[in-house]
Amino acid sequence: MLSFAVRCLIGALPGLGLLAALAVLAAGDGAARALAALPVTLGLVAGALALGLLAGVPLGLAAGRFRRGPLGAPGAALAALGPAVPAFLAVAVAFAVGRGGSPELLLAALAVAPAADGARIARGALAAALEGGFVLAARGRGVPAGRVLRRHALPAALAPVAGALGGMAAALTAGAVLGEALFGLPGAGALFLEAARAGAAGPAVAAAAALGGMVLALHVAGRIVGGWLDPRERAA
Amino acid sequence: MDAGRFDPVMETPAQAARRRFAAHRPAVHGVGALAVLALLGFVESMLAGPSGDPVVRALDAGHTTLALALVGGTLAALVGAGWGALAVAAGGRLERRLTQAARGLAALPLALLPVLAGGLLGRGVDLLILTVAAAAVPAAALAARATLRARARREYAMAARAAGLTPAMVLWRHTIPTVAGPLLAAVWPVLARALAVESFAGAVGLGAPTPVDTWGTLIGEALAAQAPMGLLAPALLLAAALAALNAVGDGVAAAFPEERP
Repeated sequence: MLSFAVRCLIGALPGLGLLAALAVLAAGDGAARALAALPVTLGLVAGALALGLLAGVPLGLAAGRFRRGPLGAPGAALAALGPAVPAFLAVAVAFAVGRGGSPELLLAALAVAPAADGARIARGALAAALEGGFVLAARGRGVPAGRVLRRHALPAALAPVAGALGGMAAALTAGAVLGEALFGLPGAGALFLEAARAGAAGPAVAAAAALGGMVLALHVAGRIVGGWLDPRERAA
Repeated sequence: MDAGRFDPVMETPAQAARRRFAAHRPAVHGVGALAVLALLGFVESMLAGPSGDPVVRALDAGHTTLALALVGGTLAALVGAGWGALAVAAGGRLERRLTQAARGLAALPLALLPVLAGGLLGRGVDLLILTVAAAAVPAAALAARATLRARARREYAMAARAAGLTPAMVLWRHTIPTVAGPLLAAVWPVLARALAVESFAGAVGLGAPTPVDTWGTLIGEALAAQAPMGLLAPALLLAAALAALNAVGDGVAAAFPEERP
């Protein structure tokens, strides 16, 4: 497990180094400005991920466990909503409906996409795990059903959610860029958009590299958590 | 007949795929919804409503938006499929390198690419299509490689080689007909991705150039003008198109199920 985590971190180093070099080459001290603004964006993205997954994953797990019936319906509906509402669209609608509004509204709007993604992935993964051979084998050994669900099926269902963390963060970054500009938050996303609109190549590339580094770091974190939950994820 | 079964005496593989697709109701509705979204603009221009109305403009923008997504998505699908096929055909170290490159690129927020290009190089339709396609390529390459890897190295290909067919003949007669459907299902999500990325660029005001209306640019205009009513129509149409594309993708995946040996 430790060697897997180290391998993941080392694997990400060339990418992070390239992005850092790109930022410094493009903007010089503008890179420091982009880096200083990054915590605002990271707070938004990580907050939206936490909020969305906390809401979406349990609903998705319920939908995977109870595939027919009222307990699974909210998760199934949430999962179906996901592909239709990308993060930036939720942000745009929240801004229009809320007429400006607070950072809390932005956070809630950003949380919609990871909630739907988490519900969809958790539902499919739990349903697949419950049909998997290792669950049958555990039941055959006489392990009680509740314990099989908690100890065998649940980690296998949560690992793909963790593995998709980077993809969700990448999708959220688009929403955060638009949201920071609309809601007037001083983050790296707003910086990026401002520079891109002004045609300022250096600062725009530096801010994009900072955002890319943030997503890459979240991707690696997600892969490590996924590998910790499910040994099969360590093989890839 | 059981929807999942395929009886080689009664139907060809293509007929079986068509039957499975038709049995997937959301996918059929999705095809209908996409056709309506693409054609509404033409119907509306015959009825000649008031031309400044946000709903009319959003309906008018439908075919432009979908055409942009289709061109960008198809380009990305072709490049991604080529990338995946090259990786699987090469094998060994080159396959690992190509896959690692795709995985690394796919882990980046590539939706920022068209925005960056639109801001720094100027807004243009050609550039927008290229960058939208580039943003969707790595994910398509990964999906194509996974599908090809699972399906292209099978016993039938080995048997055909043993029977004396050249590699090119095996490719043309056996591998391509077998993988074409699953490959289509694997790269299908690039269409929705291209649509979303193009709309994002439009929504931040750096998408399609000014005389061209897409749902994204209309959303961007409404946001800039603080006009919530102007946002409603393009946002709903965009969500409907994304949902429809996704439903059709589910149908395509259902049409080519993973066969069990």
